[in-house]
Amino acid sequence: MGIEEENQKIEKSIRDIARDLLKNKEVDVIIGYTEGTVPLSTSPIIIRDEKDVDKLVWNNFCYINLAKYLAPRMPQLVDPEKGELKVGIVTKGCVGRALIQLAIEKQINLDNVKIIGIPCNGIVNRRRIEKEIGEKEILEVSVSEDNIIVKGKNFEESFPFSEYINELCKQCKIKSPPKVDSCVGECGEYESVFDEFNDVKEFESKTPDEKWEYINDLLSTCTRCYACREACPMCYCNLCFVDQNKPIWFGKTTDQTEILMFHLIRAMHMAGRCVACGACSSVCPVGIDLNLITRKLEQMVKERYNFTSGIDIDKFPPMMDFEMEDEQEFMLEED
Amino acid sequence: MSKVVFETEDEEEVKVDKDWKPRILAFLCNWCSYAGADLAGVSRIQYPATVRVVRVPCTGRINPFFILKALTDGWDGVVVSGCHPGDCHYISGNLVARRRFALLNELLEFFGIEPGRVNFMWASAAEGERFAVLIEKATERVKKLGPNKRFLKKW
Amino acid sequence: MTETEKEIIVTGNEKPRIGVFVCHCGVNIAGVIPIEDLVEYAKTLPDVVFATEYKFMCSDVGQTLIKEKIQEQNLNRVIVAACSPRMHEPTFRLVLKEAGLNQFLFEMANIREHSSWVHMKDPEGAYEIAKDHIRLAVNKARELVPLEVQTVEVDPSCLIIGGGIAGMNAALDLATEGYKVYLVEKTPTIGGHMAQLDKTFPTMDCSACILTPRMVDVARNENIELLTYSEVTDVTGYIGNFEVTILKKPHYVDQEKCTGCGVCIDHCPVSVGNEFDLGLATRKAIYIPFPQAVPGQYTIDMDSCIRCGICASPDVCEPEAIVYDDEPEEIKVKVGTIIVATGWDLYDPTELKQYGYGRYPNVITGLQMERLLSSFGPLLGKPVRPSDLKEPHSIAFLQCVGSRNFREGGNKYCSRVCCMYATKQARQYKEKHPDAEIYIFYMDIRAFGKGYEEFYESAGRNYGINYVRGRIAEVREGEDHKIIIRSEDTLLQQPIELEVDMFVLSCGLEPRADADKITSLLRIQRSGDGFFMEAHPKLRPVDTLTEGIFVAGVAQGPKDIPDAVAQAKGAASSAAALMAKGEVEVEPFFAVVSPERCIGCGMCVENCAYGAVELVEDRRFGTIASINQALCKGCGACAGNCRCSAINIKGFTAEQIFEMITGRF
Repeated sequence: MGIEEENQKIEKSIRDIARDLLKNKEVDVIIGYTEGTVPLSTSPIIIRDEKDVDKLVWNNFCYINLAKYLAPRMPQLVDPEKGELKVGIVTKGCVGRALIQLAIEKQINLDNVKIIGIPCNGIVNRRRIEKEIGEKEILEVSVSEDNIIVKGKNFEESFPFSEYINELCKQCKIKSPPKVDSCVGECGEYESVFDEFNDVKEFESKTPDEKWEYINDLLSTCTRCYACREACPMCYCNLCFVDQNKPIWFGKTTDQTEILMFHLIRAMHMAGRCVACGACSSVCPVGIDLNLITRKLEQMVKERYNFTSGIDIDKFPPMMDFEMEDEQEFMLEED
Repeated sequence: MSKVVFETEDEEEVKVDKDWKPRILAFLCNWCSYAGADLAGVSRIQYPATVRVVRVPCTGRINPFFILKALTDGWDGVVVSGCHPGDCHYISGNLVARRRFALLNELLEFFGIEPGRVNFMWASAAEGERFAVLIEKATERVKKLGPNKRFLKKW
Repeated sequence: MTETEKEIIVTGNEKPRIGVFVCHCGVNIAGVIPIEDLVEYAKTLPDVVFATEYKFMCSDVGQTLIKEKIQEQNLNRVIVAACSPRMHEPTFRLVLKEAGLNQFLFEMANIREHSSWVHMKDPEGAYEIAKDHIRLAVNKARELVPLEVQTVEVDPSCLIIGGGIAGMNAALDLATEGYKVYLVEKTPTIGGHMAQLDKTFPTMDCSACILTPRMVDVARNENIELLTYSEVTDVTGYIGNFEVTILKKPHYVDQEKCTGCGVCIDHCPVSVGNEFDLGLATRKAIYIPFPQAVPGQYTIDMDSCIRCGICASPDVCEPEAIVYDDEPEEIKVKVGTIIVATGWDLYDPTELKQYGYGRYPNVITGLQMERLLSSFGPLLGKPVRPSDLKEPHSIAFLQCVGSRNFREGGNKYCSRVCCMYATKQARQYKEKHPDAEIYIFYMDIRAFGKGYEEFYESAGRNYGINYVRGRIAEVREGEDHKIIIRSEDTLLQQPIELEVDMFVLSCGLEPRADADKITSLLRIQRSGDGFFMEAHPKLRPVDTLTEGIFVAGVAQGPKDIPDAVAQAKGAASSAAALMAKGEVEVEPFFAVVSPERCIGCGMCVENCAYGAVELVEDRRFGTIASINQALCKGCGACAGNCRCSAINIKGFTAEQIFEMITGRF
């Protein structure tokens, strides 16, 4: 089955399940994806009426992590009388992971969430395609067979699908949510996820100077717009550390060191929590691809603490826990 | 912008003075390492005059901000020292901190911050000698790297 | 505060007026660092309105100077640049209080332990560090805010761990003063090592005669709850309010019913080595450690018992006290203070192969010799050689076995009692066998206590004991299990070869093998020698670094009986001082939550070792963390991990630390 056909099948099932859930009053609203306002994108949508379920779509441009749009952070999902509304949520693997992680961190109540699981086949790396198309205006994008077809005025280009999806999606082993209430197609079981992290290891074999140069180069165009933070399902502080002024740990300038600092601390805060959805890279207006850092976060907690975020609701993330026997090879010792 | 960073670095290319004394900021836990440093003093154990001490109740108190801010603000190196695992005055503060430090240390290296700028260690209240030896070692590591320019805030 | 002095109210909004007081500490600081320059430097720092120096800031004159200047200069922050805050912070806080200033508007710059003493050979470096420490302190001082001292109640009860002579004396003192004492002893009887001794030096009074009445006093005292054959398994809480879990091991003999008649031991078919006699005699599987043991009830050693059932038969145990299915019992008590008096282990000389212990039967330790000499020991005070049970004619003692050793094996410290106990044992043997030849091989004789030098002097002069200065290189076994010693008499500077009937190793004292368990249970520290560390070697010798916990006896370091008793009484008196007042001031350094920042993720709840954080519903801020200040110890594990920086630690606030970090130049 081609990717396009697969997507259409999934889309139809999502609509059917959504319709049933709304009809049977199992949920008050459905959160899902709908057509985007520009090509290569989709938008989140909240559906309250079963008549509207055909607005729901599923394709390889659903890069947004819908776990971001849940109560109590979304005031429209809290009814003044009924309290939190029951929500059905269209859930690809990384959204499912985010839901579990958010539940561990007591940010959402899974009792009010019906997870409509989808096995995701990868999200298109829109920033990469945009970069390659350049200045030309993209008018239409479709996935056909194994290619992404991009059309515009006087041009049509084709990109191999497997090559032009997000790097994280290429490595992804958790394509469907670890916990589902209903599933479209097949949803897997996850106890542990094996990954060699060769990409991370290859990067780490570089000298400090090379790493420094690479990271600097990668982040050199960052304007600190914080779109990455806004798209991240796990970034939910009331007041982000970069916005705090008592004391001003880090300035607000675009001094390169302060840019690095933002990304370093953000990485620190994400360690053991990042669900590798890649939303941050997809929304970056200057096309910074943060997947390497994301992969590092996954590798670090997996190899040190045998932890993969968002899989097991009963397992504490590394920063909420400790063991007497934790590795401490980085500690300075006498010779 | 990154280019600018590299040019400044190249200009003042490594001319490490042998007598150069790095300025190191040390976060010492009150119960073990601060007391261990006191013991080094009482025992008149000599070590390089490089560390300035910030007393904290426990390594658990040390937010990664402290360490990163020290670097961006121009300290040449950072030392973090606490009680040995199992000996924490607050039962497990150092164990909570150890995970934080492990991850921070990995990320620092991942970002290309020179290994040796930030040094984590354990030293008990009874280990004045060890404290001095480790400070000497940390000083050597920082000295080898030269003045902190990489992760310094430029403006 | 006198009437002429005014109270200085600080709200935190007024401009800081910082005073810096630099101490010479005699020549300790001034000998390395130019004090005048330091004062001039301090004056250049922003908000420092006054700086001066004095020879000894901690002296009465120095303290008065600070008080005067606070008033005269209207200082609202005070910095003393001197020794470690661990030494004199409390002293100077009191000065502020007396001068009408909140005592927490004080900061110390450590320019002695962390500067002049460790950089003596680098005065310039020391000066730089001292300057920076003062600047860091000034930076922090700007952010200091007045804090209210917290008081916590102190429960009038004490847990004493260890029922040796130190623990017993501490228990009796506290009980006499009316405090409830829980005396926990690991073995089935109190008495400790002193019960194993025959006579005590230098007075030669019988150890049992002075000890056993004390043991009975302990058992009889209604304020003392004696928990023998028990171990402390968990300690939580803090000064004044420790929650202690004690595991009472099963005796398999009902301690209420057992009359101590001893018929059971006559019938018990199992014999094993008796720990009390260090394997020199046997006991049965059902036993009391020694006849004068307190409590005097029996215990079955289940590792040896074959469960034949003989002792349980009513013909043997009339009161039917035997309970084979006895269970361990866990009890929980709340105490205000704790005294650690866990004592010592004898150094095991097996690793020193050159002395043949464990290989040659006639090589024994000093403590074994003590049992042989003991009138209630296995040989009723008539020592014989283990190999043939004949009375030895010649005995050699070797001093400093496992002590004062800077090479491999043993410990570096002096064990303080071996010189005297070897001399005592030699004298005891000589008293009964005037013809015996006794040699004591020593490095130096350390006879420092009251009457000790005279005792030693008389041993040589009146008893004809031969003191030979020299360490024994090695020994081997000769004919008839005699021991051939090779050494050098370093006074005569000639090698000696000597054959003796018995060879006694004067082994030193070591920290208990399970001292680590106590360390982590109580969160107290050990010093380099492995013994528990006192808060200050001179001024707080019975306090540990954990408030409310004291240490007594050899647990703190080798000492003889009078010293152990003196320290026990000291520890008891320090504990009593806390309990008598009924409350104690604690530093108000605890966590506070900024509700507007907190997002309620619950990480702090998991990070807190004291269960002091919980998530609560706030009407305005939703789910947020809330700190129970009674439980919070102010460690900051929560604050260090908080992504939202929603938790701050009073006394070590983010603002204060920020100012220290950023004030580099």
